[in-house]
Parts: sequence; structure tokens; C-alpha cells
Amino acid sequence: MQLIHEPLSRRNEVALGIVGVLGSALVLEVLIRLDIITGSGLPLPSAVADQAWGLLGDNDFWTQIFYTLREWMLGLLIASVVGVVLGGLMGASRTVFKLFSLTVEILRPLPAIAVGPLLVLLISDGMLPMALTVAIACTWPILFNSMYAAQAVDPVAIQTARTLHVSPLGILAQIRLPAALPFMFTGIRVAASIGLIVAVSAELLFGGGVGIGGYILLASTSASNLDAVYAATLVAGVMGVLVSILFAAADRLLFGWKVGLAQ
Amino acid sequence: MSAIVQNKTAVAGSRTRTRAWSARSLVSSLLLPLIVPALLVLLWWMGSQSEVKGLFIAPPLDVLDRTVSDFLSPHPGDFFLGEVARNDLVPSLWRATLGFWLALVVGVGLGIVLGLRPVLAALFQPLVHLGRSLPTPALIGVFFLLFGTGDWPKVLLIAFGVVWPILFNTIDGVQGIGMARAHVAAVFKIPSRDVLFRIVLPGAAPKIFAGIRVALSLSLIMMVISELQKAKNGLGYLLVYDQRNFDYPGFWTVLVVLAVVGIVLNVIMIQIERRVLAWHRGVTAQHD
Repeated sequence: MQLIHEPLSRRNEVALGIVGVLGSALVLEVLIRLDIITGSGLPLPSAVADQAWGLLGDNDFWTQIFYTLREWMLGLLIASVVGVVLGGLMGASRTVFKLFSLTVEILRPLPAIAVGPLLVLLISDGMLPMALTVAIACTWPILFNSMYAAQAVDPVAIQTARTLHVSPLGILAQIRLPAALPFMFTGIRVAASIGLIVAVSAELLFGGGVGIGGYILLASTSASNLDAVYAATLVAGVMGVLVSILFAAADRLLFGWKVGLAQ
Repeated sequence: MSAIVQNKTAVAGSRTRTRAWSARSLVSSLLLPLIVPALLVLLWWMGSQSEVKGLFIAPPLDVLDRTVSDFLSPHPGDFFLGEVARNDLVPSLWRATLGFWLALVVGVGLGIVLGLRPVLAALFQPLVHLGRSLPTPALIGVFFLLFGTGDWPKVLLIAFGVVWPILFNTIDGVQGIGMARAHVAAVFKIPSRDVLFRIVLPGAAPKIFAGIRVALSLSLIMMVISELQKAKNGLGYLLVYDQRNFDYPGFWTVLVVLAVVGIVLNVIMIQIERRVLAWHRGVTAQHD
């Protein structure tokens, strides 16, 4: 028997994906309706889908979605600047690497979510501490990717440029940055998906009722409203999928030229 | 380890000029990394002395004191663990370990099955992507409702939170093995058991390990989050409890312990990865 199989065509994959989602929902629906699996709080797919549809028609909920998105973008922006600059410098210079490597190793395992409440105490309520929490979580993948990207720049290209009397600034702009950008963007792409999850979690844990997380928090207080919890979580998840699709498309569009060149 | 020893003997055996240079570089490589942490601790101390926010920032020395007194003990009978370590750290880590291993078994097992069957993988691919993007902490209330109180909802929440990167990477790794190796296996009529354990698993191992690493740091986060509500012990519980009682040295202590646990786990992970994937470096590393 052959264990490894040929991959499917793209069209078949998409079709099967749709069948899989609908089929799984249907199976779960039938299992719950026929009382084969029982218990309070199980998500009935039709009810959750109904709720989610209702949420998407609700202007208040869209306000919360936009709040979460703004918070996420602010955090991602901060993380991108810090990660690219610090990571890039760490990759380009041994001294900077030595200066910051231990600090990075110490701070990285700290769960951003646990630091968040402290930020609320130190800064204030509102969006900034949550955006900073998102930024903390997002910084690491960007920083590491930027660091490796800056390290991996072809030394021959740099030496060639030097021989041709290109100024250090010119080398940075014309060789180092273009060579490192695609990999840096991969870091931002990874961070974007993480950031959205962290944003919703931060709202949920210390947000005070704003954003999608705040909505979920308010909905969880009443046990009868569990479908709303599932629906809002589902919406947040779908948003995450859309974000990663969007960033993947941007990656292909902006850095498609890199594919053949990658080491 | 042996590489470092070899390196050192190589350095010692080289000429004096090199030795002087390496002594200087040794100083710089030992001192330079300490500058930024020292500055951060200084900043931390200055923050703790400030009038407005100092209330929330415990002085570094107090935190160190508290960490030692809470988490360490001189008694060998307690395995040198302090009271707080025994009551909160150990249960936390136990649940995290359980959740992590559950996720590992399910993620790798399911990932291999899905990875080997393109039709199944295509069927469940959107759901895996969705699961990966779900904000798991949102489901904490639901998990308590579904699985009662106690340890199980927490363990399952951790497992649910961290299974996705393992699952996703395992599928990706198995699918990335490629048809060339599959054809070779078919031509030589290699039995499927050998194909699984000698081609599929080793071939997917680098990707699986990448997923496991993400899952490991994620499991620490999920551990803390799972204990923020309806918990009787654990580091997450301690965070909430200390904050409610305005015990900020305690709060900072928990942060320090979390960082230490994270670092230790990371070091262990790197060691395991180095052993298991030793063959990978040099053989295939450049092509990934």
C-alpha cells in the first residue's frame, strides 16, 4: 500500500474544504439534535451561525470589531518598528547582538497577557495598554525574522558594492534592505495572526468591556447567552483567517520576486 | 557541549596574539550582554522609587527576596521548593504539562493521518486554519461549563489552545516530504511501517519541532490564562490574588518566576531538538 499520495489540485482542495466545513457542522448538529452527545453549553452549529449572522448585522458589534482592529493595528505597528529596527541592527552588528541577546532571551518567555494588567496600572485604562500588550507579543517573531534576515544578506553582494564605492547608506538602502525585507515581512505576517488573538484575549482579560473580547466577556456573564460567546469567538476566528489570507496575498504581491532567489 | 569544549581547546592551542584577542572578546561577550539587563533593572528600581507609579512597582531587591523566600526552601524533604512553589507552581506546571502532552499526541497523530491523506487534509484544512485563529481564552467560560470545575477544563483549554500549531505544522511537514521519496519507497516496495517511521516521521520532524516550540511557549500563556478564573491555585491565580490584595511584590515575583520557567523550558527544548534533529543540520537544513 502506498502511504504518501499525490497532492490534490487547487480547485479540488477548495471544494473539499467547503464540503468539510459544512459536513462537520452538519454532523455536530445531528449529534446534538439526536441527543447522542449531551450536556449544557454545547454549540449547536445552526444556532451559532444564526447568532453570528445577527452579530454581523449589528452596528454596535461592528463598532467593537473596529475597536479591536484599531488596537491590533496600533500594536502591530509598534511591534513592527521595534522588531525591524532592533532585529535588523542585531543581525547586522555583532556588538548590538551581544548587547541585546540576553535581554531578549530573558524577556521573550514572559507571557504578554500576564504583563498586561501591570500596563493598565502603570499607564491607564483604555486602548494603549492593550495595544502595548499586542505589541509585546508581536515583537518577538518580527524581531527574530528581522535578525536572521539581516544576518543572511549575501556578503559577496555587500563586498561588491563596497568595491564599487557605494556608500554605507547606499548599501543599506540598495542591498541590505531589499534582501532582508521579504523575510522581515514573514515575521510581520506571523505576528499579525498572533496579534489579533492577543488583542481579543487582552480585551477579555483586562479590557473593561470594549472590543470583541469585551463583548464576549459581557456575553459570558449570562449562561443563557452562550451562543453569543460562540458566535463572537467564531467571528474573531474568521477575522484571523481573513487577516492571514490578506497578509499571504500581500506577501505574494510584494515579494513574489523573491521566490526563486531564496536560499 | 562537545563542540564548545573543542572550540575552547582550539582557542587555547592557538598563538598568543589570538589568545590576547580572544581574552578581550571573552570580556566583551560576557559584559556586553549584561549592560542592557542592568539598565533595565536600574529603570525598574527608579520606577519603584517614583512617587506616582512606585506603588505598583515593587523594588527589584524586594522581589528577589520574595522570590527566594516563596519559591525556595532549605528542606530537602520538600525538594527545596518553597510553600508557594509547592502550592501554586507545581500544580500549574502539572496542568500545563498534561495539556501540552495531550496536544502533542493528538496534534502529531492527527497531523500525520491528515498529512498522508490529501483528501482528508483538504476536508479539514479550513477548520484547522479557523482553529489556529480562534482566540482560545474566549472559550474559557464555555470549557468550565462543559467540563465542570477542577483541573480538567484547564488542562483541556491548554490542550485546545496549543494543539493548532502542532497539528498545522505536522500536516505541512508530512505533505512537504514530496513525491520523489514516495516513488522511491514504492519502487523498492518498502513496507508502510518503515515508510512511516523512517521516511514520513523523520522527514516531517523539523517542521513538527517548529510547531512544538510555538506550542510550548503558548502552553505557558494558556496555563496562566486558564487559572485567572475559578481557580484555587496556580501562577495565574496568584497573579489575580496578589493584585486584588495590592500585594505588588508578590505580583512581580510571579512575573519573575514565569520568565524563569519560560527560559528553562526553552533551554530544555533546544537541547532535545539538538539531539533529535542532529542529523537534520547539514543534511537537509539548507533546503528548508
